[in-house]
Amino acid sequence: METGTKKPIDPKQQGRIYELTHSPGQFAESVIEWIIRICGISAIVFVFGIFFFVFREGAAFLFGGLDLVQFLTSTEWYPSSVSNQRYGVLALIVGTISVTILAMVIAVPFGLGAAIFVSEFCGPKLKEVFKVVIELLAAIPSVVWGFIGLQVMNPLIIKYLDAPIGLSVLNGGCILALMSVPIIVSIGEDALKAVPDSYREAAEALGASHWQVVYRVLLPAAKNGLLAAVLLGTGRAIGETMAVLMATGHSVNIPTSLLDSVRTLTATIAAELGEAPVGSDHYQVLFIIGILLFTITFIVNLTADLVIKGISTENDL
Amino acid sequence: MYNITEKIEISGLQVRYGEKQALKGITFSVYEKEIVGIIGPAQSGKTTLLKTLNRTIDFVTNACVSGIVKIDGIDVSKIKNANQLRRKVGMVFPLPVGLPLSIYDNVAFAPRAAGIRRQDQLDELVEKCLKQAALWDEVKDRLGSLGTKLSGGQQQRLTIARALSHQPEILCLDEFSIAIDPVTTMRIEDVLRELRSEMTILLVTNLVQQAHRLADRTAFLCNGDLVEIDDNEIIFSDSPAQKMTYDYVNGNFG
Repeated sequence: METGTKKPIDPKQQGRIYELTHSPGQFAESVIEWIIRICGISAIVFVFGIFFFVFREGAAFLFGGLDLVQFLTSTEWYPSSVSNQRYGVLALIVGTISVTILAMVIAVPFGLGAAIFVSEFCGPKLKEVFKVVIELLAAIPSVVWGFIGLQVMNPLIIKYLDAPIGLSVLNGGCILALMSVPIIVSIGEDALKAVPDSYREAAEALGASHWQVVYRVLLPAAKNGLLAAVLLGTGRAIGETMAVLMATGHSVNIPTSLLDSVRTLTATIAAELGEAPVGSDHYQVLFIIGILLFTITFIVNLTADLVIKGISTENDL
Repeated sequence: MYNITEKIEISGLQVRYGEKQALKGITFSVYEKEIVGIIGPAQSGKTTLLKTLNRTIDFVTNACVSGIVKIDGIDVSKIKNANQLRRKVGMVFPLPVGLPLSIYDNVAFAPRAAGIRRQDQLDELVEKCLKQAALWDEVKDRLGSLGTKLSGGQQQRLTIARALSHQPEILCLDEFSIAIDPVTTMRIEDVLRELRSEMTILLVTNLVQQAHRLADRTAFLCNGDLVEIDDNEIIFSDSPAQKMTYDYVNGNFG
């Protein structure tokens, strides 16, 4: 460093001199710091960018013309009627929620159970096999899942449950559950793996059985990570489009049983956007549905955050 | 001077971790209700010895144990339900491990695992153990808060309370004072002196003086061999049987 000044350095100036004489190491340091900062900021920029674009496409109709109450409470979805277009998405919301809830009811116990098994109960060789298989499961494209729903689940449901049609909440929920399980398993397993071994040792030395260690120590210790796993699984289920489009029957309907066909918000956008004339009311409504989806996922994430905070403040007493 | 019933009999105990021999065949006995100090430099097999007692060595994947460890005359390797054994042998680790549970649940963990469900029984037991570990007065008003939020010394006393909660007959302490201040160490040493009338205590320690203060007899391990075990008066005298012991105790080892 070039601090070859003969005068003694005034303490007030010291910081300044140091700043002015960057060594190459410091320069590289600040470049890296900026690159990392840009990466971080870009995530925010993308989210706002997407939101802005979606919002812009739908804004004109959202604030002029659309009856928001009717939009949210009516089940009448007739966007391409010649005489009287009606845009009611209640049935679509109920469709999305029912399929998602069913998927989670199936996927959460299976996913967490599998995560606990892989992390705590199976041998190292089996573990490797499991992880590869689970990653493979996560890599299956959603259209293939939809195909399975259409060609495998559909006839099975018709045959064994005596339903007139097998494309239903049940079918879509099962397919979504299968798609969410790998996410829940791999993130849940990471969360369990992150629990320090000293906890296991301490609990085992106290004479707790293997299951007691898992139930009383590991699950409480990993609860935040496990909750994150469940939420990401839920996010995947809400956002999934192609598979549900193919497996749920795609008919606008408030389901009264698991064997009823439904249509989801995402599938509606995918199926109709190509046919709606750009800029038309129909086109804009589809973007408003996009905003609605945004809002739903936002609420899910926010709730989860609050739940996690609630858990930790409870323990802070 | 002590009860002559043999609580623990160890004979020809060898432990290997893969290629590495951690214990090279050691033989000694521990009598009922005495405190045995175990001293020795790092890597001498002290912790391994404790692990064989409650069979937590089973969890070390590449460990290979031979020789016999008997507790109350029963070979521990023949016990089918190792959890029962672990309830008999309390274990305190070098670094305090507060489980991520409330203080109450930390202490009630082992009794619950053993099947005690009645609230009044649990309350009584938790209070008794925390009092024994000299922690009750500091935490009695906040039993519901997280055990991991306590200070290091408090957490170590919490782990002692927890080790006492399953009413063990043998208490093993593995360098319990490594992470806590001298004042707390002294308090815990007082606790141990009181406990000696109720149970057998094995005290692994790096502090030679701690073994001197607390133990009735002291064993000196080095590189997996038992160099010497004898009454404290002899180990800490000017003429123990082995010169090595004298050198280690007096700090001119190696």
